[in-house]
Amino acid sequence: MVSRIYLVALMGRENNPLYVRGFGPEAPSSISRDQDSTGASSHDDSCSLATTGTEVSTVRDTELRYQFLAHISLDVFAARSPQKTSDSDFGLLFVQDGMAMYGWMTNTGVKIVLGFASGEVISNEIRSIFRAIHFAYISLVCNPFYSVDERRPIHSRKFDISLRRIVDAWNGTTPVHTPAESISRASVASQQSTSNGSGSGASTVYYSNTSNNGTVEGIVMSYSGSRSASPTALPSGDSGINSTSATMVVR
Amino acid sequence: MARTPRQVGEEVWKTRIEKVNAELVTLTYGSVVAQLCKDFGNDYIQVNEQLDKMGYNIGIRLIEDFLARANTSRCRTFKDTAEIISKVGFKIFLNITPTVGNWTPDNKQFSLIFDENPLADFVELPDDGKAVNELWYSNVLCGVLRGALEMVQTQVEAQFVSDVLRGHETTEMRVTLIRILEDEMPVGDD
Repeated sequence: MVSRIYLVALMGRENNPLYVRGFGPEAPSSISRDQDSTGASSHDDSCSLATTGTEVSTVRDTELRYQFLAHISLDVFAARSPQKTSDSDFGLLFVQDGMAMYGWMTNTGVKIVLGFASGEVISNEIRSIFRAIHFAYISLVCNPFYSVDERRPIHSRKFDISLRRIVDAWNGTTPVHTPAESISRASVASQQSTSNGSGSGASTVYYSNTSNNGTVEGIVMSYSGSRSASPTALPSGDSGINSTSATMVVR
Repeated sequence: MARTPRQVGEEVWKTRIEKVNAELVTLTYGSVVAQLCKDFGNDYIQVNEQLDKMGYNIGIRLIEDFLARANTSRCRTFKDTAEIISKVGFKIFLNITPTVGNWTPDNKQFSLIFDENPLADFVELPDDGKAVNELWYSNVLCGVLRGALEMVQTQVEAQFVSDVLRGHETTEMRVTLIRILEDEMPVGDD
């Protein structure tokens, strides 16, 4: 059973929270189909799909819990940073409350944390998610109207939508399968997602368009759509005012 | 010349143009617009006007560069002009080819429909309710067209009518011929 993303958090260089958002079934921003998922809240009886009466308090509990987990991960980052050599990937940070937290620190000190529910996750795929989130963050920062003030939290509709797409692509289209198949999951998922009616438009963005061969780089490229941070990724010779058709956004 | 404008544009783009990083252009233009908005206290109408003026100053100089590189023959009709603008002009300077369409029956007005706009990559208009109704982010392009065409004796008016940044379906610029400043070019009834 492949685990689902329940939490995405971004923290700034000074360990201030930039963005904490839950995607689990109890989270207020979750989409309706999450509520049909089975085996989701095994770790949390108090947050079971409640009636409207208790819904507000459980939602608030969940949010607090996510904030708490995000802050714990900051400690882990601080503890491990001295030994970390070059790679941005911090891998598995810790496991708490049935949630496994994975971390990624960018060169500018921005930390991305992902919280997974129970289940196996392959590190290569985690990296592609981190990269996709990183690209979404880059797109946000490149917006000339966004003040890159490290202290203020992120309030951007485009960023919300991008993250929702990334998480949906991971959560929504994952079938039940063994870890051995996970490498080829990209192609499976894209086929599945095109036949899957609900929200398939969003999920195909993450995994690929039909011309893509499903490698990790390919996935990330087709997701980010716009020119990636390193122009060397472009297939054509000139680096310059290139047409974006080479890395076109899949709508 | 037997070559179509599209071929001319492609050829010039490939051979005679030095390239620069696209992100540099995007970020530079973005900071210009953002700074203008700050300087004018979010008076987006003023910002539009300033962008148009800047574009005009760019256009009157850019036309020389364009004519030197493209070396196309003189346009006989306004329709030719439109084709050259979209297939050669925009191709050389931004590597995009907006579609020409929506001609009025008297052939004096057309639309340029942009399906991609490198100036507006990554941009999200500020959420203050005003920008999304008042700011034309790429307004510099209107000024460029106006300035460039004025130097070749064609007086036009150019303005955006829709913009994906504002939530519309397409980004569309409407170009209207006001008058030709010379008798040589026949342009229908004038």
